[in-house]
Amino acid sequence: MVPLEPFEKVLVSKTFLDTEHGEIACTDCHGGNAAAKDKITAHEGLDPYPALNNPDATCGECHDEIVATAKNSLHTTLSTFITVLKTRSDMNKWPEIDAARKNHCTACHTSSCGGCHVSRPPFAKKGFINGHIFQKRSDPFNQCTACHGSRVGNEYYGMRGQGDVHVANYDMDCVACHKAEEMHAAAPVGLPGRYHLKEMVACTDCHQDLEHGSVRDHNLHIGKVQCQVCHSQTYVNCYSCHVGKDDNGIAYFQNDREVETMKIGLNYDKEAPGATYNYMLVRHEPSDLEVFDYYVKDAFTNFDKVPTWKRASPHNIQRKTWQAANCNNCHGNRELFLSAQDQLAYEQKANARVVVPDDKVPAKRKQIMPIKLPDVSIRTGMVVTPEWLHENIKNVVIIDARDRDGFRSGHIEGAILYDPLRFGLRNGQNNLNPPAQISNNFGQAGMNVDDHIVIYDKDGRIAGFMAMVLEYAGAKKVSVLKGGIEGWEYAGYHITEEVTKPIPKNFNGQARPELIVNNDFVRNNLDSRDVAIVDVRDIPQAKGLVKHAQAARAGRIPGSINLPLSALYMDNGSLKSPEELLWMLKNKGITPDKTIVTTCNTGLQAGGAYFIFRYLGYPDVRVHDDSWVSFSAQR
Amino acid sequence: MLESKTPGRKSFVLAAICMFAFLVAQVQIAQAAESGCVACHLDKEMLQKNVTVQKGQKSAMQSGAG
Repeated sequence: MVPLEPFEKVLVSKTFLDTEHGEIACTDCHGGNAAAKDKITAHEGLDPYPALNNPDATCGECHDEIVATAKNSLHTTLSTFITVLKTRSDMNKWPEIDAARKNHCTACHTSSCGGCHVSRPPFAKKGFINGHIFQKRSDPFNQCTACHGSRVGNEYYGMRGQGDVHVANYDMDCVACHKAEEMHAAAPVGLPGRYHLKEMVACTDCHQDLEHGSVRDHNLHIGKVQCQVCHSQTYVNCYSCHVGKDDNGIAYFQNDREVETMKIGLNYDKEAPGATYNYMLVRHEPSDLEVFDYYVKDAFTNFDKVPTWKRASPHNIQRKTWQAANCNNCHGNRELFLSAQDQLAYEQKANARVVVPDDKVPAKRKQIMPIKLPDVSIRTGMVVTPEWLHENIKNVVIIDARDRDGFRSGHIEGAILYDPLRFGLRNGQNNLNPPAQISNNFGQAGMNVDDHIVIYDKDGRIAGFMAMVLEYAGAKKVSVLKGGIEGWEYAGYHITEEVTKPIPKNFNGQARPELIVNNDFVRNNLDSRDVAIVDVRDIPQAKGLVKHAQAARAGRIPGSINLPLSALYMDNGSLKSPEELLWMLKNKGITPDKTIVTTCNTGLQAGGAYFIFRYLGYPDVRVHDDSWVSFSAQR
Repeated sequence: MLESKTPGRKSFVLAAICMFAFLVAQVQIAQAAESGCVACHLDKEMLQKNVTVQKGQKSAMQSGAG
């Protein structure tokens, strides 16, 4: 979401005056002094959030029936937060706990009529999205995912994983499922969780009578497992939130780590409407015994009463998923089911009802239909584990491909900082510089064409781009560290802030210009059956809903196949199994018998994707260095 | 006959009500359009010059997506 300029946030459109809401005096809703001659006097008594602070006397004047329930909706009250906190808390300490809740939870997690119908919500730094013109249908980018962004928005639109079939194939926005009846519904006091809201949308609102349909697995699984168990992709889990105030009195929170994974748990909450199944997806919420310690110690004497692995409905639905691609991808796959080993020490009891004991993991099936995968040889050496790197650390050149701040915060001992976005690999038009110039840069950074070069970053994608440029410049042996810097640290290996100065070498590479293609190549192969143009941008950009800042227009290359880069890389820099990646690519028609051309906006993500295809053994992979920014300008 | 051509009391009241309703409608429309608020908030150039960036209230200690 592009930030609004300060003036844009408060600029009213002339068109607004011709709307029904424009017939109401500004001061009727916002207060203030319309007759004042100066800004300060004019804004005295002004309420920027009248719908939040005074809903009945503002929106409720006309929309009384809606406001009567909406002012008590989950979006407004977050009443289930209170319910859960009270269930876990020592109620003698509730005043302190509630103060912490108000300082931290509700500072972000509240909205009102205005945050969904006229402006960006306060959490998203507010501002009118259309000159104060009210709109019935909430804007998915400026409003819904402005708050529900890091999980829901990113999952849905392909910034984490492959994205959701509902938008990728059917152009459905948030409101297509989450209609007014649900959004405006009052949440009864004491509602144990959001899934208990009777107006909440369910898959079966649209997908009805599946058990009588033609899909055998529906017949076998409906009533036993939540739909998402079979139809979701991996999703992010957060750990150990702590809150406090800094020296300036500004409230903050800190999350320990985020891990992309998938866990199936036992259904601990069959009282929720429609939730009679035995197994469901569970997501780790960042609750921590000491989350409010800044305010009050030992607040949660009843912590065990509410699980910390909670029912999840990831917004990354696909018809075909890896866990459902084959019976034994799920049956007998202990790793997929929540276990005691997945728990932190203090949450074992809280999740006792959710953990799947060994005897409840469905048994492996003896006879299965094998999955047919493309016949390729995985280039296993292109990915190294932290353990391998630790053993071979003296024999490789290690490149830290993060920015300076990331490097300074701690890096692998001996690693050389090389930020591929800033260290002279690309020119002002985002195209790669001449190979000789790149070779010179690599040499100055202490790399030679015969070195085994191991690259890491935070999430793998920039490292992948760097690996591509190294191969373009002629490097013979390039690897990416699985899991990046987080994976290294999580494996227990130490990091340092001590800087190693590179000893310049002659890189001496034989460039491989054939790895790069331009707009002409792409145009000449738009209809070729032998070339697959893989657009690795997120779904909104690939569908033309959102324009890259430097592009001439929104859109995509005709005939290109959209597969977001996030589908190829896990969120935390680890990689999916080669089998899963190959299966996913085959389903998209991206097979190794074709020339693969990766493309994006500027060539950066395309380079990250290039690395994965090379790793998977695809023989002919090329990068559309011009990408959409240049392509869109030429047509 | 003469009486019937003269505007009656009812017609006069009706006309007065219509006139009043028309005036009320005009006043309502005028309220937003002629408000001192929109005199500034419709003026892009003035706002560009006078609305400044507010310092963020995000703590440097904050980390994680939440």
